[in-house]
Amino acid sequence: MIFSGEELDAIRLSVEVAVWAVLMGIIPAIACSYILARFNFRGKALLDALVHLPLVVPPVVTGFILIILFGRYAPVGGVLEVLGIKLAFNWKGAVLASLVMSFPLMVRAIRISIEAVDRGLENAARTLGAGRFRVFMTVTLPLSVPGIISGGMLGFARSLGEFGATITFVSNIPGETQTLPLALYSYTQTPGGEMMAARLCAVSIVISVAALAASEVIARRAAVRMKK
Amino acid sequence: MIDVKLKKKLGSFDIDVEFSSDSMGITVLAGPSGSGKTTIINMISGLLTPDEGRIFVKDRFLFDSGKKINCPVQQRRCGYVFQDGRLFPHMNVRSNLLYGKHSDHSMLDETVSLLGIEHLLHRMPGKLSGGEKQRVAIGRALLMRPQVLLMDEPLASLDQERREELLSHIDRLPEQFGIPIFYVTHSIREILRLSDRLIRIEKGRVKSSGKPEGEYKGLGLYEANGDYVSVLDCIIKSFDREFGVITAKFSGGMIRILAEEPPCEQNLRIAIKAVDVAVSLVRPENISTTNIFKGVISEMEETKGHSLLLHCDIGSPLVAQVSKASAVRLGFERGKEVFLLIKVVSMIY
Repeated sequence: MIFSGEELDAIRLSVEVAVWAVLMGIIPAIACSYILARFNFRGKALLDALVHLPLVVPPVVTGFILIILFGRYAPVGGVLEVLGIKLAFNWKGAVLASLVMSFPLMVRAIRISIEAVDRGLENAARTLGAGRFRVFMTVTLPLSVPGIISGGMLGFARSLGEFGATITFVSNIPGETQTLPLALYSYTQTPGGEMMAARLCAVSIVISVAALAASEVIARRAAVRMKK
Repeated sequence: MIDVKLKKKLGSFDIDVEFSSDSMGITVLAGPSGSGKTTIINMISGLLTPDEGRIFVKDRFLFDSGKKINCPVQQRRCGYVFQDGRLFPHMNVRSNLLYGKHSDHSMLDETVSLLGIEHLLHRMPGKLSGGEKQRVAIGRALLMRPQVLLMDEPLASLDQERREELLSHIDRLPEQFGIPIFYVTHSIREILRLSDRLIRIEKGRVKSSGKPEGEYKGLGLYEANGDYVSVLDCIIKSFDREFGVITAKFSGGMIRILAEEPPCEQNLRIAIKAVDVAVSLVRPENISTTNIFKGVISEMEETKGHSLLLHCDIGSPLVAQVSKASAVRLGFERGKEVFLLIKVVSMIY
């Protein structure tokens, strides 16, 4: 099976966007999960709702909100543009759209694994002289690794499939913002494009399954290392 | 020097205790489940904040509600050995031992050899037995060079044999490491074996505090039903291997105790339940009981179920429980001279 340049661009772009979305999102997701799992504060429900919002509103709404906030003449987008970071109609914008859409899934997975860490162990670490940060870095974080891996995996898969927010925010520009689902959509709209669409469909399944398998292997290794 | 005064309300239950200790030895906090023992040491360690009170350890206040002092857990330097060990499952034994912020690496070799865990250093906690885990937990708490060691029923999850093994390790800790220990338990065996000072806690209050000797209404497991026991401090004089009988000296004379194994220490503290003591007006002869002590009834007290408690003095306080019928029949009264019989097999130690 030989792919056309356009198809290859879409595949490469999709993987790049998904990887970047996970890389950029994972640390904020861990921080957010930790805050939601371990602290009680005023406005916690609000933060929780805000994080989960992209999961419940139509992706087009998320995309439109991104335009309002990060468009070229929008408040945040304008500032970023001055700093030389262009998001609108750009692959970086696709990363942002994927990140926002996959963030709630990452937070959910990571939060569950942080909540499952025995607080008794954290207390034991504190009696041994470890402050909050050290407890987090040496006890909570390493024990949540399986959840972080599965959270990252979920985020990657969600980014790979991201469509609505991306097409709304950064449009469908081949070679720039046309990720795999967007290319697939274009082919289905083109007379005689069914064959191409089917091929991209197969590619998308292969990438997803490979990512799932890889995360299983990593998670299992982490679990084995812990019980050695 | 440790001085503690704590008040804490927890739902319908409240704790209000005050005690101090200047000994380097083991202070046992004993009492039935739910009496607040663990809550008390959690407050000393800082894991729980008292509503009011003060906690003074060695040379500083860790907590003082009046002066608004509340030292964070990580700065309190209170070693804590939890009931369930709480070793970090993702670190090997060596990393666990040296986790403490102030861990003294130069003490590692000595500590592990004293606790007999040298061969475990590179294992993961998941592969250790219950007894090994607790020894590592003790080592970890000691290596952080604490100013006081808190132990919360560290033997509760172990089988009998492991318990015995660990008891002798714990017994020696104060002199080996020169730190005071607060030890929470409801096991009478551990109370008798370990306590240099005994603080009994009931329903969030201090019921008694002092050297563990004399009479107790309820001790350890017998706390719940309020059985009377007498505690005697003995010095072992000899051990008869053939019959497994220890002969020991106490303030009321010599006493014989049945032992399964040769004693490993010079001192032995025993407890005798009041219901296991028989009382006679004459010195009985041709009887299997060999522990017969002459004493005087110093106090009589009515107790539940048609029985009487005779508080006697045999050179050391000893309490006997007899039926009211026998007491009337034999004419027991204050100041009467009696003989007290304790079976060799009925002693707890």
